[in-house]
Amino acid sequence: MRIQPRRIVGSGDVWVIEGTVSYDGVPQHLASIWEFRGDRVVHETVYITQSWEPPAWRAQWVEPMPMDKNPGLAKP
Amino acid sequence: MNKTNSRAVFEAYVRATNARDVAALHDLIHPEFEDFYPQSGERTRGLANLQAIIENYPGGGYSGQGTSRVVGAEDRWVATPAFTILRIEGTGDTFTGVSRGRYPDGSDWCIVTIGQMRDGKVWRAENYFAPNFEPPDWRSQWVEVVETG
Repeated sequence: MRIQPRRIVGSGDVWVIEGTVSYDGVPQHLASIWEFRGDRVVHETVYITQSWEPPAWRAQWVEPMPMDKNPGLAKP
Repeated sequence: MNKTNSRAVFEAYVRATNARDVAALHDLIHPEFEDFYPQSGERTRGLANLQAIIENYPGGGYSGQGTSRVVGAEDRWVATPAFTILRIEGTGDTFTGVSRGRYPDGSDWCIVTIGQMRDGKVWRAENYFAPNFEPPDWRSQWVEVVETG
């Protein structure tokens, strides 16, 4: 298993890691919610899911998403 | 804007999204609102595009079921029946909402929305759609199975 963070957002006692997690080399999307008490993690909730092709029916109202490149990782 | 209001605005946004309530969304989202679906690589800008997608969803969209938990700065629980939000957590300008959605084909999904606030409105939302899965046998001796809503 390998986790590749893409974005970390949050404040106070709740932070979220978004990225990919690979099992046997197959990457899947990861959203992991971390709740802190003091400087320790007391609760982690993990959601893992797969990519899908953007549906054609809404193509006229959307555009390709620019993916963040770990903007939160450099911050303390 | 104080923390309580930010949380209330985000919670109202999640409820309005689940209810496909465009009129409510109009008052809750920032003029530079962006809605992201990382799984498909889609970005939706602004209320007009969001409204078009909501109104044109094939099969009539999705519906919710059950409410169980709100956590965060106030770490409070709610028990409002017949609604889709499972939990909302966060402080400051970043909040996370988890809902359960039922799609027209009958499948149930967890919908995770990570929202960032600006000027008292929801400015940016990233959404993940995750299906439930069976817990694997190999780790069953170290875990408990919990009800997630």
